[in-house]
Amino acid sequence: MRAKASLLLGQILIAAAFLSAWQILVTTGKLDKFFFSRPSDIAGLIVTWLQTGFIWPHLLVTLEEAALAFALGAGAGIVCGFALARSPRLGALADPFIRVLNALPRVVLAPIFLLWFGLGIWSKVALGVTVVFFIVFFNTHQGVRDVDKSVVDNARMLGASEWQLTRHVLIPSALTWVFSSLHISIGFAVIAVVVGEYLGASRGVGYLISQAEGVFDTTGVFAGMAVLSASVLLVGLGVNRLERWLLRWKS
Amino acid sequence: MPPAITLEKISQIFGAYTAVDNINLAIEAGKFVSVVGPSGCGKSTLLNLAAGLIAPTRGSISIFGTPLTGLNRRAAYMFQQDALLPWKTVLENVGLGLRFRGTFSEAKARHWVERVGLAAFADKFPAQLSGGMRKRVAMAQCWIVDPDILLMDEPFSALDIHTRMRMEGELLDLWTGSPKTVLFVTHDLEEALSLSDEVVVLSAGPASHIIARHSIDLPRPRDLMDIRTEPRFAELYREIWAQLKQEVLTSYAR
Repeated sequence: MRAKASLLLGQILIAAAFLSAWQILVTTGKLDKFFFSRPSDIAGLIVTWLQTGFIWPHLLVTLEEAALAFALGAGAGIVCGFALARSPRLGALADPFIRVLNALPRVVLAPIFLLWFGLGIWSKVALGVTVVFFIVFFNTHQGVRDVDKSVVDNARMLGASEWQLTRHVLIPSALTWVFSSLHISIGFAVIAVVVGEYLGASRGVGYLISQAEGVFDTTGVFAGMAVLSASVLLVGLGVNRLERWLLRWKS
Repeated sequence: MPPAITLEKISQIFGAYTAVDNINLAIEAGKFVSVVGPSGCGKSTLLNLAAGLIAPTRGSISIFGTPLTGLNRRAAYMFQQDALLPWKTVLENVGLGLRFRGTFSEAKARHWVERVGLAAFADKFPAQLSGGMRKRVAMAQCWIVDPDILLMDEPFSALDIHTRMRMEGELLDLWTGSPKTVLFVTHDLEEALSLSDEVVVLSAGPASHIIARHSIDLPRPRDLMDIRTEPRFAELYREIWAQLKQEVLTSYAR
């Protein structure tokens, strides 16, 4: 407990030192305020955003897009990962296509998706899906193929039908891998939708950042970044608890 | 009554590797039969064949006189490796066979959890148990479905010697008085001798075959803690070890 407390204290000290140094350097004119803004200004702007409620609709849109991207990408990833792992022929057939698609840098898809799905949320969701899908797909695929052979044989000897084998053995095994990649896939979902918003949107935190950038408002850029990281951190805390509960059988 | 397991002219070839060659073995119902042999001699292959997990390259298998096609539904299989579902509790793991058959009853599962001495651990997950406890769960998992045949693949080989002796004792307690047939694979001759009615010696692989079958006339019930010091045990041990030793040496030489 004490070790944990002193660790936390150390972390707070580092953050405080960093922010004070930044604040002092800008205030004394060592750093140009135009390019670096100031922690106090950034904090002030965030407080204003919160007070006026200006930030909520943007944050909500971003989180909604990320949640949709995660749900759709994970769903498709689980189904495809499962099918391809269970059917070696299908897997061999699809393998080169999956590789090619996965090798595509997602950012270049963003403009295409803008054209296809418009400026609204769906172009961002689509971008998020392309990221989440592959993470979940590969994990599911691995999870299904990695099930210990004796565990499968044991279940079959105990009388499991093909469906029972899937439900009681293969799906839980695959989910284990998916759960352990939840952090990564949720994080990437957020990143992808923000990139999407950044490249063309009328709402969202990514849009806010790009707007601020357009008028050289560094304070706005930093404030948007801070809000974004804080919300991803909060989501991460929730995911931590969920993961601990879902994987409670791993001691 | 036909034999519980009949292997007739069985050969099993994996690619270019012949695991077992021309095996003829009939196991009488209700007997406890062990198969011993050096590592890699195809002992597990015999079990997998009897379980129906693999089909023989040549030859035929019958279970109680009926030719075996597909999985052996009258057998339970206790694996050498951990084969419990890690995400299910002890109680759920024990009741797994019942659940698959659609006859799950918590009372029955609980009864078996208690019977293997894990009442206090019913809601724990396998990762929270010791190796010996996990073996107990596996044992209950097999016995709860009341199989006519038990196939056991070096089930206790990963345990320390004392835990192992206890588990062997518990296995014998469960088996004694039951009509079940046990086919037990081990590389440990002492274990085979102290548990079985009959010990089958396999030659070194590849293409292993049966070298000898020994009837073990040690009286039952057996006290596993002391049986190793009995003169008849030593006599049988010497006799069988003389054969087994040759095979072990051959297997090293290869």
